[in-house]
Amino acid sequence: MQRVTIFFTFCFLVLYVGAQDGADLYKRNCAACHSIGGGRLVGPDLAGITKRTDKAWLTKFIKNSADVIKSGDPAAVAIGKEYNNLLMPPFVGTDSELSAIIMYIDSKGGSASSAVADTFLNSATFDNIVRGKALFAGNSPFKNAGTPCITCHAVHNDGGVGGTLAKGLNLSYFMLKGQGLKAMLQSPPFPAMANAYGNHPLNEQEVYDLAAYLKSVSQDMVDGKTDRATVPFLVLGIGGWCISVLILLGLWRLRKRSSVNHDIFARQLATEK
Amino acid sequence: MDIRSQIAMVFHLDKCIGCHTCSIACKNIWTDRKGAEYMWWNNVETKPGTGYPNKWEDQSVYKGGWIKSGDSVQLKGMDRKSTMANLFHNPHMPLMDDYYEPWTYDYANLFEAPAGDDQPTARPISLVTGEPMDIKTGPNWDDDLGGSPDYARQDVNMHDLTPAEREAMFQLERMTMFYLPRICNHCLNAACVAACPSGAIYKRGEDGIVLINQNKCRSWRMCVTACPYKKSYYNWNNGKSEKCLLCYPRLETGQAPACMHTCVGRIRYLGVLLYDADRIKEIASCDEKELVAKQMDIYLDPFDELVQQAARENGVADSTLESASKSPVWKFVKEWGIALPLHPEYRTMPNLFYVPPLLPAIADTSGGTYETTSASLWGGIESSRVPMQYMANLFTAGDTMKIREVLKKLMAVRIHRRGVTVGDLNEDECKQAFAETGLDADMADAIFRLTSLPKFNERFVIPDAHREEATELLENTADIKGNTGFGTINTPQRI
Repeated sequence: MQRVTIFFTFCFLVLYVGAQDGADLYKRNCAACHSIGGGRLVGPDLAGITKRTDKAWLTKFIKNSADVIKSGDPAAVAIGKEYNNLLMPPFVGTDSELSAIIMYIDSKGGSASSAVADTFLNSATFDNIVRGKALFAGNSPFKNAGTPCITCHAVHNDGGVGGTLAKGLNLSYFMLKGQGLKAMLQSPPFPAMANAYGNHPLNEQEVYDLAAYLKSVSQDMVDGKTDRATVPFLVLGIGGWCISVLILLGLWRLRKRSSVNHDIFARQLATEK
Repeated sequence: MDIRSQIAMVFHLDKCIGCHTCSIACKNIWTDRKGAEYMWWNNVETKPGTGYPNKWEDQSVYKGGWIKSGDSVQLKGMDRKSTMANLFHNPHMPLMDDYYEPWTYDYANLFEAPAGDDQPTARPISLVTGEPMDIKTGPNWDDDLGGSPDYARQDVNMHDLTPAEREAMFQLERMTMFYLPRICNHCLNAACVAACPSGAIYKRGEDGIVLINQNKCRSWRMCVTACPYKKSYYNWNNGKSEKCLLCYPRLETGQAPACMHTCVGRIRYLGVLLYDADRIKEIASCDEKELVAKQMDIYLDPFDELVQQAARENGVADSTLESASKSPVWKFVKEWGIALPLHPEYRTMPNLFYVPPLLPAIADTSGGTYETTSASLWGGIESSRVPMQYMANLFTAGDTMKIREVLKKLMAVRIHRRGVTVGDLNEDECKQAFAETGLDADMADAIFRLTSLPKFNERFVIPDAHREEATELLENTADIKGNTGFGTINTPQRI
């Protein structure tokens, strides 16, 4: 009897914890890229996904979408194609957490919208971009003492300065859109980033400024403004190299090049022949 | 006052017969090794001529020595910045052809050549490449068969000579020349020490010998450029620079350096001079006209009680003071004032002094006849075979008055001795010579004695080396006696 009680208590706890955490887990792991009934962001709208697909398939896909796509599953390949082969990061968590998330999505119900509903950055100004750039580069600190983005990320329109530990963010806006950037910045789903910013979250203003800056970076890339920087640097590099070589050649001529009696030796050699 | 002792030397050029025994003695002991074959720590040059390495005196090419800079001096070839900038390529160094490419002969061919119509020959083989080579030049080309007109015309010391004097030299080059033996000058203001980026070169405290620490040398070769006498050489085999070490292992055991010991003409003298190290900067940077006179001032009287006292307080040993008082160098340089430094204008304050050669013309050709009659037995100093200006360029930074003064003293000694030994000279002539030079009969006799009849112990007054005694306190020198010699204790390695 006691064992049965313990078993049921355990089951109850698991279910309770699942229900309790579904919303939270969803927010942490999924909300950066997905909405439920809010339209597509980085990934598809998840409203009604549990009705449209088989739960086992869904679980497999969430756990490691890359493998499923590689295995040639037609549905998975189609989704991959639709979203520019931008792979969903593998889910790191227990099976019960995953089912809690699926339960949460299921409980929200509704139906998916394919409209792109992203008005997040519509009111961004030049000031936001400037502030965002300063935050990105660490020129102005984050309020909660988070590490500047440049430590790990690089954007290449400023001469390629930045870390190479994580992805370059040149085209981040086109992959994530405003809403995605916001979600990524507010509650990053990547383990390293989640660790780094878990105790140092960005505030709303900072998120907005950074997103605005990253959008401007991405647009510059598309407008070809980066060429403006690369070409002069290339020319400067080649030109500088040529000038240095010329200077060195000039200095090289100043050395003592022949023996002091060179003329005598040359004349002797000439008469020998 | 910071009184230190310096082992200094005098070479009496009138006595040098140009036999090169000194060079061979030195080579046999020190530079008979791979990479050192081209080095002649001691060499004997023919003047006029371009010397070894060729035109070493032309500092517009080699940038050796110091130049005056305000109240101080700076190296001509480099300062801190240019040393750094040229660290990996020192632009002013002599090339191999400026020395010469060392060679041996393929002697085996004389024995092993197959039978043929012609005599077998021993071809010259380069000691650098090991390949047969054509000999372009040698260490003593001016004297050998280099064709002195070719070379002598390039002698750097010809500058400031009038065209007439120059012309005279080229007429006379067939009948006059003199020898100039050279070793390291162990300078008071050594340019090589100042130039070394590794701090490998140092001047020994107790006797002023300038040495290169073979463990610290990093082959930057700045010393090769900086030494205006080109007496620091780079060993291309082991990658270290080497120079004359004044046979310090011999000096420490009371023996004269090999070049001096073997000297056939007995031209060489060695002894201690005391000097005031506090005045080096002031004297090295003084006006060019005063250089010789001021350098003579730095050497202090070893008989002066105050000097002795100050020297003792500075750690100079009593035995060193005693040998300083017997020093033949002190007599030649200071007491009699007849020895001069070579090229004082390099401002290194060299400690090797030369008694300039008296080369009186005793005959000349005029109108096709060989004329030997003159007003006096020897012609005046003015009609010497080598122009005064040439001598002055060598020994007094161009000051002909100073060289004339020295040569007059030498002439006065000759006149006096002629009077004493032959007695065919007018006494007034002798008195006039003394009056002009400030010599007297006793002094002239002393000069004559030390010049012509010196004993071995009078030529070389070597102070006791207390370094040896200090070593004996720490280790049993008998254990290593006969086991050590010149070489590289720690083999240099390129990393």
